[in-house]
Amino acid sequence: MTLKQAIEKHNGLKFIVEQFNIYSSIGRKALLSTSYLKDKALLSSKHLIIEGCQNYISEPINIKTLSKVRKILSYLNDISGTLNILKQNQILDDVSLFEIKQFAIACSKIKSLIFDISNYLPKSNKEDLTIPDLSNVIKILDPEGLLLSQFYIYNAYSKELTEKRKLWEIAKKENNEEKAFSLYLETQELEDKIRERLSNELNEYVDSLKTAIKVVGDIDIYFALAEYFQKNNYIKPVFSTTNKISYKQLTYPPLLHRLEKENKHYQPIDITLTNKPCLVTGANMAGKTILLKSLWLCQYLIQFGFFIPAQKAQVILVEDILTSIGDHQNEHEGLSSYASEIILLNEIIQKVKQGKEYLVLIDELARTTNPTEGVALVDSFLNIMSNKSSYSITTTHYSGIKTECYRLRVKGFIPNKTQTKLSLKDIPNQIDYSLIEDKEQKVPNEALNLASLLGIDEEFIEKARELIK
Amino acid sequence: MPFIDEILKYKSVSFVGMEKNTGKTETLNYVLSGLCSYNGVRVGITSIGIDGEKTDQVTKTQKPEINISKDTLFITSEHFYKQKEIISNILSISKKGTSLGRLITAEAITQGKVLLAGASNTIWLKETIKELHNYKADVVLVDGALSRKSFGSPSITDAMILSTGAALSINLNTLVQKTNFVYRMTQLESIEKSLTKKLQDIDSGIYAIDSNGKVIDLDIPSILMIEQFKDRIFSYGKRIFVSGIITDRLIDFLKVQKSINEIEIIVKDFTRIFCKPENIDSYFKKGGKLKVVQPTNIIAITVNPTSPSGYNLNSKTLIDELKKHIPIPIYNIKEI
Repeated sequence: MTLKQAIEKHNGLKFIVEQFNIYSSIGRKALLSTSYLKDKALLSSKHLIIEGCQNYISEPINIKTLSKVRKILSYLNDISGTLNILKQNQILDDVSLFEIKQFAIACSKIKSLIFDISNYLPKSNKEDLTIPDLSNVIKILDPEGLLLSQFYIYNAYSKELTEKRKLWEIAKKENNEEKAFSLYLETQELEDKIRERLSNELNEYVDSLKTAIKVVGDIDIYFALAEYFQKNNYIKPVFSTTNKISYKQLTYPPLLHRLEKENKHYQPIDITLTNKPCLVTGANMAGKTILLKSLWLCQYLIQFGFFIPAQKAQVILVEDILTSIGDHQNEHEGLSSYASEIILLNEIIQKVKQGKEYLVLIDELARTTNPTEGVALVDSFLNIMSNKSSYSITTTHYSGIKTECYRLRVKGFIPNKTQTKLSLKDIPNQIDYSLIEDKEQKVPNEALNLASLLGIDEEFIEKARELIK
Repeated sequence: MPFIDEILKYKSVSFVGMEKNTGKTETLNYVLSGLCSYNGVRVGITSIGIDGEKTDQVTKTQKPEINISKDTLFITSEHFYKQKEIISNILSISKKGTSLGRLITAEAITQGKVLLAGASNTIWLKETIKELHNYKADVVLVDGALSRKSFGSPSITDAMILSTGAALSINLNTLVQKTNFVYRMTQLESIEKSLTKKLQDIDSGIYAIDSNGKVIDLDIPSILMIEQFKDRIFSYGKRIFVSGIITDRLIDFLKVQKSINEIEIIVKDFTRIFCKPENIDSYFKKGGKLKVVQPTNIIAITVNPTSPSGYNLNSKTLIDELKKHIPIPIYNIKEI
């Protein structure tokens, strides 16, 4: 899986990735093709490079350097296509030769600007952001040694060409069109020979140029990540040595962003999980779905080698993230919500049964069918998850789930504040989103309270209250 | 050369032909050769969109290439760059592309011929002109177009030279009338500066400008569908901005409105007006107003008295007739 595929699945991830300040088209392309990783060592080394870049930009003098580097990155062309042509032993035209020269000069400028970046990187990754030496490439395309981002078939390449061009100029001045045209064709032939020679000479440096593309992309990406994570207080996740996942002060950035804009308070949450199945209960609007989405988002961030929006985190790596969140009706055409959900659930169960470690996030399991069977399905699902190595979090509104599991409840409405009538907008301020461990099988009955707070028809609510009694 | 002196007063000048073969390219070549005799003047040249192949597809006549001198800066597409008959130094390549490839900015090392192509919309055109100035061009010439299909407006240049001629009509009266109409459209009053900023980058849709200068999208997909939306068009007042072209259909609709003397139509610039002269005139007579966002500074007209089929009008008569209506210099550049 690539980052590009992941952002299609999770709009919170997309929200974050879109805010990274990537300056080059090479960087953007490379960022989107970042792979989902399960290798601790690879991810750790990414973390170290990000930290190295953070240390680099923490020195004021380097901030100026970085802005110069970024200016160069912003006009850098991706020459991968040209290099593929070169690799096939084709002859490059002036435009392609110009692009290679411009790229090589730009790379050498970046290289000299951040010459000391390796001092900030760990031993094992010291050379990761070092651009290969391209001075030979520049030499081939800059026979006059001007170091300018310009190109044509210079006279310096061939005395014969110089002579022919002179004759051509004379013929043009004499208005001898026929002669001028035939000399023009002769110069074209000579130019083509030079292009062939240059292409052959450049062929030797295709690998260095390809490495340079990769490295400038990385430079662009790592500085963007370093800057973004620093600015938004994201932290480096610590890999858990046990089977415990734990987040302190976990936030969901898209929501945080929205609430900040509306000048509202955002409440981060703490959560600890093991591979014992976890069941989360809580009132409507208590943030259960956001909890699942946050865990999903963080798992992505972790496995793409990014930092995470929390104060402290101990994390594990999983094979994949399996989710059943939201209305399923559209996913399997022609099926009811229930059928779609259960088919999706089956796919999840089959994968989990194979024994690999997954993160399984299920929102309101079996809510689309009758409560009696719904409860049974939840119980049975938790039972299947009980002796698997996967990590699962299931949310529910059902009471009476008997399977032994780790039970969490969102604290919910703050009692003394729930008296007055509320508008939909005010409700978030009346909820304590923190999670507490719950030993009971009964879920809180807050649907009726919430309905009356929302000013729903009194007769309707009162009748329901009587019936519960 | 009075003509050339005039051009040097401006930082950018566009060349627009009223029809193919009205001598726009000859005018451009004439100006280029004139400018090259001025020492130390660096010329930049580009075009709006892609102006076809070496041979004009419609008339099968040879499309003249542009002849530029040493040190001239030019912008063209990758495709045309390969066809140049000149030694030139590539300075930059655009990120965006046209149907003929990306745009190349280059500098002529020798004198020679090039085919031009350029930005396909007004915002990009502004950027390319700016780029040529960044490469130290003293004056930028733009090979422009008068076309319904063109999204690039030549009016954004500081000055414009219009080419007209027998290719437009071999009837002297018709030719004079049509040319005069275009000239008059270039003289339309422009809107207030505060509104210009709000309107200049809008590329689609029809908008009302209310009494506070607020721009409101009328949500009318096309001016061609005006009759279906006639209940909506004046719901925020009588000032209407049409971002695309206006045609006789709109004018016909407006002419029958009771409150016609309060109506003010705003278009991007004169190139967006595709109406019959008599129709616009009767709209004006009834009290209707027409203004432009971008005024056009037309500084001269050139005439080509020969039609592509070979018909010749009398050059002096043509110029004299035009001068009766149009108070700016008019030349036949072949006779200067």
